[in-house]
Amino acid sequence: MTAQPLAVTAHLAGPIALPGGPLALDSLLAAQVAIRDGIPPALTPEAIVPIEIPIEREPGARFHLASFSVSEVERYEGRHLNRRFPVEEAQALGRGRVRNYRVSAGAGKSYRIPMETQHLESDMVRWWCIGEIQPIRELLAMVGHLGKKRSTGLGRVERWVVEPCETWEGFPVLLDGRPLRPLPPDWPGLGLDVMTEVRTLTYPYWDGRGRQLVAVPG
Amino acid sequence: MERLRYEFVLEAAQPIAHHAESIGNEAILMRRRLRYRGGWAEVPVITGDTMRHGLREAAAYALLDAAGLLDEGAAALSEAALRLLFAGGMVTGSSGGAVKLTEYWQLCDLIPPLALLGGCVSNRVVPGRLVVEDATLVCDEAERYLPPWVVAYAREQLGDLGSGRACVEEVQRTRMDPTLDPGKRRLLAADAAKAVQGRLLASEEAASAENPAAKEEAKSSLMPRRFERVAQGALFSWCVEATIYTELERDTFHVMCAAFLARARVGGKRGTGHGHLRPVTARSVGIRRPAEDLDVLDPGALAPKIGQLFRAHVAERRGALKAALDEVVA
Repeated sequence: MTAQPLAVTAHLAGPIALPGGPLALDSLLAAQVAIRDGIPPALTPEAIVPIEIPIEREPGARFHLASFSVSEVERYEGRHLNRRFPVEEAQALGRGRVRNYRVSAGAGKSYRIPMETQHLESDMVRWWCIGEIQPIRELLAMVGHLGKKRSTGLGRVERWVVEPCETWEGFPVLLDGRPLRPLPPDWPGLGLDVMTEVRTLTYPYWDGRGRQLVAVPG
Repeated sequence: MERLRYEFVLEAAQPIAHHAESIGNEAILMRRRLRYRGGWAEVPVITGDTMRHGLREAAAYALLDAAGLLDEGAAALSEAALRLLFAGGMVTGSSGGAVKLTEYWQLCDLIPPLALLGGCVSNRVVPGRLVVEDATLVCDEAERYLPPWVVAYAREQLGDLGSGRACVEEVQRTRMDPTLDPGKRRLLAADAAKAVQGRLLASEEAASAENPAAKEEAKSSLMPRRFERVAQGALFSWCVEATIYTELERDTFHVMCAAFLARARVGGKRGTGHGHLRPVTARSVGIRRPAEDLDVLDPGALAPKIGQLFRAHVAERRGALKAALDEVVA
């Protein structure tokens, strides 16, 4: 199968929480490959297993030719995360062991943390990439929710649409000279006034060992 | 690997008082903002966190019951075990760089709901494989976000769905001040009776003098307060989804759903006839199949038919489970 320019769209069924900013298509696909192949989550840098995804790499093979997610926020909404110590159960089941507990400090502390969710325009998240259409469709079919707090139903995907698309100069990682994903500062076509940060160039993005100065979307 | 998705219609068998905050002395219902034809609406919901907590609590009780630890004095759980079973545990310190997967697998074997719900064990956050959505009020504004079969069912039962506003009522309750009742004042000790008498006189004087500061100082503890609640008989649409790998996990998932829905109570004021949700119908949705392929579930029949594998598994490991709960760091 050959790689081709693709537009990937997730149609959402409601709000999504993206406290970490846009979502990376390459790491989303890598996570699905790991689940499919039974690779346990790498919780330390040493445990990282190389994972390949059906997206083409750039000529230097440093990262894959896939954008980060692009979406416009129509409305923001506030929520709270609550946690309470199980007082009733402590009284009933902790007899003899739980003599006192503190709900104002320590491990039993109750909390109410505000968080923000986003209602996106047309309830849509988009990515662009150069990859193999069928394997990408199969991997994304396993993704039911996007973003944070998926466990409580946020970011639910109603359907995925992966289709061939027209390209433009810099496709799929540049749009009008602006990066659509972290790029090396010397990437051809990159504008002069782009934001730069010290970040990781490819997945897993939490691995700080390969951090470098990169141009970032924003 | 398989993904199970169950969609339920739940009926408010009692009014639901699931509140987000209080403004003044009025408690406001938990709502979610959603887009509908013509604008945005705030529709009452029971949050996914609340429903997920209900599942976690039901699963914990089912586990302790299966292990025979609910008999009087048998449990004697530590604070960490309580936190793990009923609140998902807590990171209480550092465990260094090494992650002991064998310890996690062992705990999942002893506490099957842990694999689905996730939690903090041995100072590590363990992700779960359960997605619990908000239970959304079935109403006109939410119609486009509800499964089509839920809308069809609600129309069949209710005719029109009605607006979300129509399902919300405001009520007032008053906490009485026992010191205002002469009969109860006779029960007071002499010095307490004197103090109360003095306060009542001061209150009367402040009222007649129209002195707000003095009135505030001497006011009684009588407390009228108002709250919103979702009216009895309202319908909610609720979905829960699990990724499972083994038959034990499938059975555990069914046990927690059945145990929760058998006596689902949500929100506040449970002590005064609020919060009971009753499942009225459900569908099982094949994730990889077209949405039309819906299997009809009987939520009432879930409980007696399932759980044999789960109960046998837990009972067999009763001793190891007790030992693990005694030592767990969570």
